[in-house]
Amino acid sequence: MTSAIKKNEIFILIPTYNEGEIILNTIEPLIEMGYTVVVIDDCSTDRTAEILKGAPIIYLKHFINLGQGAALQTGLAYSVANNAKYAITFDADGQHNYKEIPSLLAPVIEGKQDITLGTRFKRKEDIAQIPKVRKIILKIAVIVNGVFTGLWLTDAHNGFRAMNAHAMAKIKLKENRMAHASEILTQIKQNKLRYDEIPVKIVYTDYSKMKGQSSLNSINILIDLLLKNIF
Amino acid sequence: MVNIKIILLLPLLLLIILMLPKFRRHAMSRLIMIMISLLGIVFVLFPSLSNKLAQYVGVGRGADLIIYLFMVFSFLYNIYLYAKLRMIQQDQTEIIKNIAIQNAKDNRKENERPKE
Repeated sequence: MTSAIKKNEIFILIPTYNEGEIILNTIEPLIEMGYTVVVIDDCSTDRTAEILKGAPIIYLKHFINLGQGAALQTGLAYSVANNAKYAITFDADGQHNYKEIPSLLAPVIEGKQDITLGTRFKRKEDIAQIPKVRKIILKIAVIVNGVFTGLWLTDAHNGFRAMNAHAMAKIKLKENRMAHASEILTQIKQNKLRYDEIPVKIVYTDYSKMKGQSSLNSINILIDLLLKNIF
Repeated sequence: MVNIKIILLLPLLLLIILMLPKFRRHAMSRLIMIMISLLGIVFVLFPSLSNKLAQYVGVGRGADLIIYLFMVFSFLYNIYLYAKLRMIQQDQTEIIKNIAIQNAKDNRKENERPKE
């Protein structure tokens, strides 16, 4: 990483909803690394707020639960308003590995891309990690995304992304719930953002499998996508 | 015995009376509601008219025609309401986002914050 970049100008945006059990584990290494950690609490009903009280982070709270897309948009707007140079979107449930932030961010810092998207489908060892049913659903989602957004990627709904200030300002998510992941792709295309996919490892722990997207929810996402294209 | 015509006419008339004050606000939607109510009144007073109309468009009975029209209308109205709901949700999101940003708690130590 270029030495001119100050770590605290890199904002790590972590939307969270009832992840109190694990949120400290997720943010501790990020704080240690010197990043600016922005937690967007989407009106958690567990002890999240209490648990985060002493942590040296920026804490944003939605007073109504709106969904991950809305939480990300709040984080992006905050980052733009507070002169963040780079933003990383990061899952609260520990699925993403903080050690991979530099490789994800490198093409953006070097000025080659405006946004990079993590993918589980570039390295053999990452593909082997994905549960079977998950793999099939993700591949279907890749096709659905391609058809709807015109952006053909290898992975879908991978929440690990890095972007520069230009992309932060351009991306305006209107999908409050999970269809925002496809919406980002649409906006990459509309705003002619330069993008690339970078291999990342997704850790499937028992916790993340329990808390993460249920496979059935992909149907809800599809409906949101369809409606979005009608209205 | 109360005539069915009275039972049907009263709410339709009431609807028109409700629509008339402040007509200039929302004039378009109020006008549509009044037109539909008037049409309803005509059909109630002259049921044979709906039968003729039904036969003209190839439906057996006037009552069936009215049910079909009602179904189409409610479907369109549902779509309208859904679009409206989405707009309200977007406004709500915007408000909650702005409040969240205004009330941001920066708990970092002073030396960790980027200098302005």
